[in-house]
Amino acid sequence: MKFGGSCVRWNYGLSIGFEDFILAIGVFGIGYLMLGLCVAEMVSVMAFDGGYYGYARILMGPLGGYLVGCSGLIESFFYFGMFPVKISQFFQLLLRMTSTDPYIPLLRFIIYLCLFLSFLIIQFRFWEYITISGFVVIVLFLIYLLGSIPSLDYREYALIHTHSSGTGGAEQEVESTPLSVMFFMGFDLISLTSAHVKDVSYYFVLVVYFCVMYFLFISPFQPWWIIVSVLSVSLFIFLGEKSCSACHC
Amino acid sequence: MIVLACWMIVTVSSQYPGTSPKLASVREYFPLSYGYSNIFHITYRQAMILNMLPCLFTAWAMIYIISSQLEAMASSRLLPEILNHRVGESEIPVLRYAFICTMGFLISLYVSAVKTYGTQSQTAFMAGCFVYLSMFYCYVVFKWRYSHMERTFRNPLSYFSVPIGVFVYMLGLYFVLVDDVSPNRAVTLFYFSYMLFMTFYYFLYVETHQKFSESEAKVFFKAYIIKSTFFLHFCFF
Repeated sequence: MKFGGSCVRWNYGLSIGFEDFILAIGVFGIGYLMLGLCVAEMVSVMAFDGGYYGYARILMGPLGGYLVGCSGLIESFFYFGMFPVKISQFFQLLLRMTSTDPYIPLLRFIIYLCLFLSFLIIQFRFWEYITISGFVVIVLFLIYLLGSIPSLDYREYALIHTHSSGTGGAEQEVESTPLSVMFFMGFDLISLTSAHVKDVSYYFVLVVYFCVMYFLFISPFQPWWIIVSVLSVSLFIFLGEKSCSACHC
Repeated sequence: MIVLACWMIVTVSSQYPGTSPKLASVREYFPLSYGYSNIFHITYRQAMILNMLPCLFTAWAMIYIISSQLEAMASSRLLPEILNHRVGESEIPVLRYAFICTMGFLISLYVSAVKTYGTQSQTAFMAGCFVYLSMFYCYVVFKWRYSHMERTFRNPLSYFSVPIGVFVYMLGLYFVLVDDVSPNRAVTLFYFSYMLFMTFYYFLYVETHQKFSESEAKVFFKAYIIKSTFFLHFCFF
């Protein structure tokens, strides 16, 4: 679900500079990690698949819950709206349409219509489709990340455009920084599917296994990545074990 | 996720065309296309097809997620109940799916009208920040009030995660709310107009008609009992 954000639009954020953008990713990544930990504890007691508004309703009162629900809907709708637009931009490039072409709204309408009809077809076997699609996306990403290794040159390409070299000013920075959350988009929505998870410990073992495999597979290709991998896997296992020992499950 | 995100940025930035503004790579629609083009020796346009699959799958997933949320809110009459109307023997909520796609289409028209590429992500980000901040508040109340309820996961950072999270999302709000630049004004105006409209709707209709849906009652039943005993305890002692 969340991988879609990794392949669209976030590169606009690089206009604030490579190092600054990496810093923004780190900061917002920590924010999402904190959010995930807090929400996970609440979900482990009350797994409600209707969204955050349910929790806000009992903890903040009816009006607070309602406003959180409305705000959450705006967030979801605007993130959702990005992807058909991206599909539309693909067809615009394919059909050589300019950004001011009068037929663009019609093209978008057709794409939304196709999306609506396709979802009507897949909805009965939604989880099967989404599992397969998740697997396909992960494979595509691994091909990209591993296949790019021979052509990587950090010094030549990544540091061309630094913050100090001058960008579009405050406006550019304000527009670009929130794009760093594109990588984490949808992460907060995972709680909405919490009611479908039957055996948490099984998935925990599965994720640890996946992390270890990832570490073993990637390390020979990028030796400097060993440190990052070991640290991230250790942190994950530490957090998991600590939470398991705390809840006595 | 943070590791994957950083790896992705390093990979995209460290190969042709890099982050050079002259090559306009930072303005490309699909940042992974150049990489796919290099790997498979295909044209940039052909490589874009590989980016279409995640977009399509994410759009499907988002429809499902929004649909769940709309269903829950409509069941509690916080939104019009017509959104839960089901059609045919298979009981498909066609109206809800149509509403989601129509809203998506209208948003795309709004974003085209505003003509700033950051508007869409900024609006979502701003709305998200408010939701997340309220979730941190909820977590504190939850920890305090429901500390004895049985749980299968405990946040290892406990209350310490709250100030860190609040700081990050307040910083996020600063970028959208406080910095007075033109795209922010459109985003702020839109968001607060929408929230104002929904608040009016709440006092006009929702306040008197809202109820607890079956799913809410099932999940939160225990919490309501504890909450009521908590307040009784608070009143009497």
